[in-house]
Amino acid sequence: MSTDPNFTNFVGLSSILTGYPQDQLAPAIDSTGLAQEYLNWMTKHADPQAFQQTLTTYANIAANFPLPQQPGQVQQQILADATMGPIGRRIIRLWYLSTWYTSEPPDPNLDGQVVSMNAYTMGLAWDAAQAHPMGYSELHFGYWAVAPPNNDVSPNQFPNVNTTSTPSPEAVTAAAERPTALQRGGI
Amino acid sequence: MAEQKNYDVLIVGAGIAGAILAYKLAQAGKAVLVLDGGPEIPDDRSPYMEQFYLAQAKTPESPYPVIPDDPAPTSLDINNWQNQGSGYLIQQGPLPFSSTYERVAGGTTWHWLGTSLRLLPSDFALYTNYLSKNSPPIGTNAIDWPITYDDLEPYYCFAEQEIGVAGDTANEDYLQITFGKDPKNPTQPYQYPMPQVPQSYVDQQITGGIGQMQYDGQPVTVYPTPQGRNSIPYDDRRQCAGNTNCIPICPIQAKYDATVHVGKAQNLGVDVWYQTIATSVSVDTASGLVNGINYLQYQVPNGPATGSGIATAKIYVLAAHAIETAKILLNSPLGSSTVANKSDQVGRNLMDHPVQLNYALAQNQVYPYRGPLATSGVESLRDGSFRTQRAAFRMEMGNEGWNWATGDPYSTVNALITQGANPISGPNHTVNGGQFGLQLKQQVNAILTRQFRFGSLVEQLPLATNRVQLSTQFKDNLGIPRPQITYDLDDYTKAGVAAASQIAQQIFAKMGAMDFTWFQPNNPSTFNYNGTQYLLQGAGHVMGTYRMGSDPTTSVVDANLRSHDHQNLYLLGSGVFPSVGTANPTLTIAALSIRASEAIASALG
Repeated sequence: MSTDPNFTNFVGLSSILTGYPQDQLAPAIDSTGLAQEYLNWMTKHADPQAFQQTLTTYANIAANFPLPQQPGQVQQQILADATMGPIGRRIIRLWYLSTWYTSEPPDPNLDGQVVSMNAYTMGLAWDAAQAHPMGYSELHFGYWAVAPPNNDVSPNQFPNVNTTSTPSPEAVTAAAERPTALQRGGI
Repeated sequence: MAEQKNYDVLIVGAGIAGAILAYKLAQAGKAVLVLDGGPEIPDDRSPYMEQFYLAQAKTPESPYPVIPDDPAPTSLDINNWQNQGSGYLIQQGPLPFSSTYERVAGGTTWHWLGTSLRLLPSDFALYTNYLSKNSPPIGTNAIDWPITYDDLEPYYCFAEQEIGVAGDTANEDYLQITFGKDPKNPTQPYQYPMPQVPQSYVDQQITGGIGQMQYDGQPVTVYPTPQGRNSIPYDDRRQCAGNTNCIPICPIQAKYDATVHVGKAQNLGVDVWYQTIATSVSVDTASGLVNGINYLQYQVPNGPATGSGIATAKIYVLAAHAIETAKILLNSPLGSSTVANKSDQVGRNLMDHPVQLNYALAQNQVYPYRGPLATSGVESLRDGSFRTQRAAFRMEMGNEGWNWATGDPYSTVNALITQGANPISGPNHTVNGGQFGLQLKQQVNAILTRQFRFGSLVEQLPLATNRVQLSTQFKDNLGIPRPQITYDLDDYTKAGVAAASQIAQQIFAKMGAMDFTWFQPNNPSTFNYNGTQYLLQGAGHVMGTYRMGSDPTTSVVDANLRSHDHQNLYLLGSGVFPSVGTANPTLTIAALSIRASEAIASALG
């Protein structure tokens, strides 16, 4: 495992941002190297000063607050911050969607780039959905006929969806800007 | 470049129609040459998988090489269809033709779904059974098929063996579908070559939610889908592992594609000339017989033509896809008209199965994004007396959540991450963004595990005005005129789309599911029917452009798929469908090819 403090901080921060434990994102013996890949990617593509400030801020949180308080501190000090918030959200999008978007927040036309095959096949969105990346299954014939085994991610709670017959102009614009998939494939 | 030998049969196109024909003729001892515009089939599909993984827009064509000398339409073209020349097809409207295809060996079966339904007996006489009952009749350019279900039934059996269809005849006993004896063992009843693929958890939950329902006098009943994917190891290929990626590409080739029969044909001595684009058909005006296929060849994907010639055989077969075959014929002058076009029907009657998508969140988790893309459908609404008035449809049940509908998981997960109240699907439904950590994980789970959708495939009527022509303005890289498409929907078809949407809404209401169906109003793919707006989407089912019929004045080929005008010319593929029913077309294409192979072998003597 890397002894680079940036790596340690990146993994710790990533764990709080994603809701996944550090030993799942970057176990000590990690043949996938995905956490290092994302750290390298951020180092290369994110605003260097903002990224370093984010890691340093997290390091201070980790040093000064017990674990249960760290998510709240990450929200207050990093995600709510005009400079560091976008860095934090980029890190979440990388882990969940394996994608680097040109802008943050992303352009609704999904102007993104898949980081790598390694990244695609380990996207956390699929894991959170108790599924697998489309086109990459390690399961066996017929598994789809029964519910997935680990049924404890969101114990039978319907999601928080706000429904209105008078949507806000922002919501109208955001919905209209998303491209329409006219043939199967999902874009 | 291979040399021209004395071939019995020359086939243009190594998709499913041409590949199965080549294989069957080779089995019958015939010398066969196949011309295909695409490159040689790769031994290993991992480069295609890599391209798929890295594609941001995982469209049907995303895994495959882009070949400017052998161009094909793409899904992304459709969003920009009014900008003529930006995509391969030159779209005239008033609606966009929204289906795409591949021009490589194996054809569009590289990304077909695998659904292998038979047409219904009544589908072969839509005009006589239904349309003609109106006064005046609806669909005046519609004609019956020149064959019946019973004529085609044995060939459906053969096609199911060749493709490798998993199913159970006991579950296909609706709307007068019948199965004869096993053609290989006539004392036994026929059964599909592989056991049925298990229905998904999504299917089971929706089936339970539908319970007992009726629509327009028909029961609303879910059936497991017969499908061209391996439920057991079959024909030297793997068992399906549920990669949920039949479209754009099955990573393990558990789903049949026509490269299987290209390989089998080559093993029996069939020659395939790759990177060879058929441009036109040459006819000897004295005899009326075809005497060659003109072609161009290229070596690099966007380079100039590196060769040209005329390939010859005794019998010629165009199996280049419904749009490309029509294009080749229309590019083949003959007297004051074009080859095989005394009826003036070549290029006309272009049809698709317009798709009506309806999608919702179920009250309870249904766990999509697992299994083959579709394992069940509502098939009971494919026929009924309503067909005098409106189009029939089948409702495909998706196992991929809202992936098709909204591009999920990307849309929803991004909406949960971005700060603010962000719409998922339309603006009337928002989620609270700015989420992270466990709360994010739980909301991703709660939404994605409840997603499901219906994709209803609606029967479209043939219109003489829906047609493929040659563009006089736009040519492809090699100077070949590009297809110009004029396309619209008639009211009978639109009424079917409206009915499909209505029954989906009734099912959602009964299940207590939250309906999220939405599209941007007044976008260039929408149409109005009875005061409601609908979004036109394509099924990839391109049909009708050189139809079969018994009357040479209203059809292009006869019941054996032979040109009425030229005794040694045959046209294969879904371009021959006079009407389209509600079955996904591939199985019928294959059955007709096998039937034609007998006629062609017998014509050769």
